[in-house]
Amino acid sequence: MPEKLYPYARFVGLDAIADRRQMGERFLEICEHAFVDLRGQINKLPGHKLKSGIAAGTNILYCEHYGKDVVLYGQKSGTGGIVLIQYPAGTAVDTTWGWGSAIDWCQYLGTEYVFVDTGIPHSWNGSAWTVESTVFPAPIRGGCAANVLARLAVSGYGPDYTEIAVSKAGAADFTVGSGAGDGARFDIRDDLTGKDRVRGLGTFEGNKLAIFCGNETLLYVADPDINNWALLRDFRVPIGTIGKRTIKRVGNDLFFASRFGVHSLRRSVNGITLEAITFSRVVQDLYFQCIKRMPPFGQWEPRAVWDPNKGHYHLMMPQLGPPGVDNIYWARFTFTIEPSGRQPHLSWGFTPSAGWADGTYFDGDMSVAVPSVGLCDDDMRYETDTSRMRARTAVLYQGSPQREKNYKRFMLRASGDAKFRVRAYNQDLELLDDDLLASYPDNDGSLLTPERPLDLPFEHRAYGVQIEFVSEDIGDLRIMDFAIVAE
Amino acid sequence: MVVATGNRPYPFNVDVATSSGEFSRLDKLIEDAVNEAGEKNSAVLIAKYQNPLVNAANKVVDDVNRHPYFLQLLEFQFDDGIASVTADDTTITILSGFGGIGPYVPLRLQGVGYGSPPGDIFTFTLTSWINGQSTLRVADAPHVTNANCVVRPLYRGRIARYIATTEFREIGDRVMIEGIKYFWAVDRDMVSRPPNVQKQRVQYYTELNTWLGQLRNVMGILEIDHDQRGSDY
Repeated sequence: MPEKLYPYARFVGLDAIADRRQMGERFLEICEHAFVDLRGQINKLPGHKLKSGIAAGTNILYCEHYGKDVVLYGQKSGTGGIVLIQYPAGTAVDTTWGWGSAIDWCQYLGTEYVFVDTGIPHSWNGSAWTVESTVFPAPIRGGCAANVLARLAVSGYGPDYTEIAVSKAGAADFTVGSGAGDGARFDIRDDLTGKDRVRGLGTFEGNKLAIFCGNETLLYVADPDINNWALLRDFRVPIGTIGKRTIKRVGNDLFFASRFGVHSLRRSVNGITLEAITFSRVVQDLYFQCIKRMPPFGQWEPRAVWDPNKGHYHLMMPQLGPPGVDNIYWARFTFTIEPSGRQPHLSWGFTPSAGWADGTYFDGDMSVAVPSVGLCDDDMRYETDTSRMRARTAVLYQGSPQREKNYKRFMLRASGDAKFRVRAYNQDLELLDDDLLASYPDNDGSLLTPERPLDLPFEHRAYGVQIEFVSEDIGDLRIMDFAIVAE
Repeated sequence: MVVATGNRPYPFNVDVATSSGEFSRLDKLIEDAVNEAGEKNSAVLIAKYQNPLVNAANKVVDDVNRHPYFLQLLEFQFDDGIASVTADDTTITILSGFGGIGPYVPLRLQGVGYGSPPGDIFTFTLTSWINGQSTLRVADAPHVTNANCVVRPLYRGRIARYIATTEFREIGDRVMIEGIKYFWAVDRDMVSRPPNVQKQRVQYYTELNTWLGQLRNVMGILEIDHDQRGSDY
């Protein structure tokens, strides 16, 4: 039989809803700590490196940029509560909030407010922490907030958890009045289709307040005159959210995570109507598994961060059980998207235990909170974590799955300086070759740093093969494409 | 890769500890066959296809047992004798047992071959020997010295089938390997690839006939049959 070269390129990303033996050959069965870029190359994701001045091993669970180079973060206190600290100065305030509480951040009038359910919000005004017991009287101490048209909106407080308190225009003052610039409170209970509660607030297109409940989402159209605020009656989404921190502005869209997926609220192509779309169907089996393993509602909410530098929406989900700190470990979905592109590139990755618990991006800086490690930068060059890139293809059959192939060669194009390893499995996931590059060691005898196309012996007989790329090294790595010669 | 020490006839990757004289254990032969068939990591395929592979080996045993050359070999029966042999010396000294023997008679020198414990040397006489004569030249040198080496006819009966992969059979390694490759290929999807099977078939029968022809010393005692092309029965 003639030998034939079978090229594999232009990968799509993770597919978690098909069997590995039956999925499209451009999909990946595993895409851990990796993403597929718009050209279909498999890239290693950056790891993290401790920020200077942060002690290694610090248990940090929350972070939010205040501005350029200033990050506010939440660290576990000696008594098991949350200490809010400003980085880099280290100014701290010990809250009475329980560790793991779902907190929310919202910047308003140059001040970063930090909210927690039933707790007194704290604020950082650029130089000092303040406990805001006056601005937020007891009845409106809710856990979520958003800033829309120069007003601060707070919600998630009892007794009904369906009321939204809106501040005066341009003032941190929730006094209710009838004037155009006065504050207001309105209740959406009658607009909901069931007994629900507000779980998160977001700002959409600058003039709309998105009110996320557990089961559905409503939009309020804001206005400089509080009397003109109105429910957007022709648009309501029967999708709620599982975490206020998953609500992120991505381009002109508003992304959020629900119990069944990752969605976007956006203006549809016609420019007139709004629409809600779901991105995560291709990973929904994995997604459901993660939802099942999440702690009960109220604590340890999932978080998300939008990293426009690389075009990633990272969704970090707390998972019950070891090996995590506080018996929680963090799974991470990485959604790669170019939101404004005409032909959007959509790709998924999933890392079962990624370490990252929270992330924040501001003007080119991406900071991440890593429990028991500290406050870190995402970093590819000096990363210190041991996270492992692992990308495994579907079963590649080279024609009929019923016919055994006599494999001859494996060719690979890759770039970057991270050492890596190529593994091969047969159609039954039996390991055929643990290290295809073994016969091509670099100077120190370890894994290869490729700088050119590699042509490796690949002498196996199987009905199909799965190729796995693994890297535990620092540095970047890009798998462009590969090919298999089979008989 | 373990390289066999000494003048072991075939440089396969078979440890001498798992071989018997010049014959290797079946599991090692299967490993070689699978390797040569294009699977570098033989363990996976052997685990999957152990039974077909052992069956393939037993088909080779069948082929040997009914081969005319082999059946002729069985006619070369004679009484056991005792000889004194010296390592690396093809001249052996007959001490007792024989009445007389001609040239080109296949015989076995027991316990002076390769491996640990030493296997047998399978060889044939190069000179004739009559009673009273002391030395006899054989084609293969013993590996160890033994003053009381039993000299026996080469094959006294047909060869038993393999029951386990840890067994040895007195069939040339190369014949077994090519045979396993051939029968395994025939029985699997390779039927859809006649060229591969044909190529393997020629190789197998060439090995089988060459090996048996060498044992029978066809080249020495018979006229060379130039029509022999390998698969001749």
